[in-house]
Amino acid sequence: MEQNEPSKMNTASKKVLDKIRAQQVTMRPRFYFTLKSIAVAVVAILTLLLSVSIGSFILFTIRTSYETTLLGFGPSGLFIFLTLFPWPLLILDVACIMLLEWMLRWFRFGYRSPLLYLLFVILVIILSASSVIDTDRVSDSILRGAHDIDLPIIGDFYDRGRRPPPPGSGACPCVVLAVNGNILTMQENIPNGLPEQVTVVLPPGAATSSIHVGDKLFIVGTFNNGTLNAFGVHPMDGDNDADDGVTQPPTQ
Amino acid sequence: MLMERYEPKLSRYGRKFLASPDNIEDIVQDVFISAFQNIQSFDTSRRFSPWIYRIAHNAYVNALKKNSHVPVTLFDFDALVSHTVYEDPDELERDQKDIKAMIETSLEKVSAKYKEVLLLRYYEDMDYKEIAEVLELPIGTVSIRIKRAREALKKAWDASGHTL
Repeated sequence: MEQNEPSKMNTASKKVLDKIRAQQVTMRPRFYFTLKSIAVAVVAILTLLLSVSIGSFILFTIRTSYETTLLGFGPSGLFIFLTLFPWPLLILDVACIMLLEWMLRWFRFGYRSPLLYLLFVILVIILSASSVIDTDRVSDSILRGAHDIDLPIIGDFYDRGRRPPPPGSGACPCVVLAVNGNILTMQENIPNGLPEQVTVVLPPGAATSSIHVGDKLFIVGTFNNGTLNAFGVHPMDGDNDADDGVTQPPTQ
Repeated sequence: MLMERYEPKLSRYGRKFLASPDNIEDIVQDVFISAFQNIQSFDTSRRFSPWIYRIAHNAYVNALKKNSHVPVTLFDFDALVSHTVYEDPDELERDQKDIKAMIETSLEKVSAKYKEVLLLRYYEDMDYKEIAEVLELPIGTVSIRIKRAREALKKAWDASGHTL
């Protein structure tokens, strides 16, 4: 042991001191830790923004696709809603939230907070921000941007988000071509694989007097030999698809 | 100076926590190297002890995971929500001797997450706030975990037929 070392110097301490003297280990500079903190904060903010974007996009998709109206059509409507729900996006969003929570625990305020409370705060922030972005004014301006100025990436993403339900789902956003009692002849609002003309049988007692040729209706039912036996009808708001290239029915 | 002061403490903590003193010296050496490399990240307005114990804790948990044949989980459902913090200094004085005796004989029989809080509390004499800093947990979680750890230790002690 060297003379200038404390007499009680233990083995591990001595080995570490030897390594430090031999410059085998070096001290990381302060800016390394500052940069690390900034990097974590930036990635956390980006993750938050991504999560908010995905959240608002999910809300936008189910709003413009009229999927929320399915919830009012009983268990069958609920089943179709669950079938059409964009689960992969939700899973991606949940992954972002988990990642965000994990990153926030890197900071002192993060690990000092109980997990569920931190998660609750994150969810409130993401849902609030997503809802604000999903208001007609914001998301529809993005949608218009997608059409008018060919907004890159985000616009295309939003434009594709207004996906019609798949043909076999039993949900049909359609335009009325003809009304014959409780039987309607309809055409898909946006062509998506159904026959050019779809025969829709409305449930008994349905108020057909308020349905006119040219009306846009969100019909939900079960297909049987090419006929859609409807158990739910909901009028569609024309604002959401004013510029979507809808085929207008022939005037009678 | 700091190494001289902390080496016996960290070695003792490691020996109790890992219960396999074979490579304690190597781990303590790694802890000091890591502390030296990261010393610039230490906030000088705070106490040094929880900071270096945090590094040691991570090193010991990694060693435990490496040497264990079964998965080691330190996750605690008590970390999900907040708990009332109750720290009774009188209780500590009254029971510390008894709990240390229990730790000496029955610590092996309690899980790792209870082991660490018992050691930090009764061997390293840390208060709840310092333990919370070491384990990076809410202070309420530390409080409830210590309570449960004491109960688990007492149960293990009783099961082994010891008496005080």
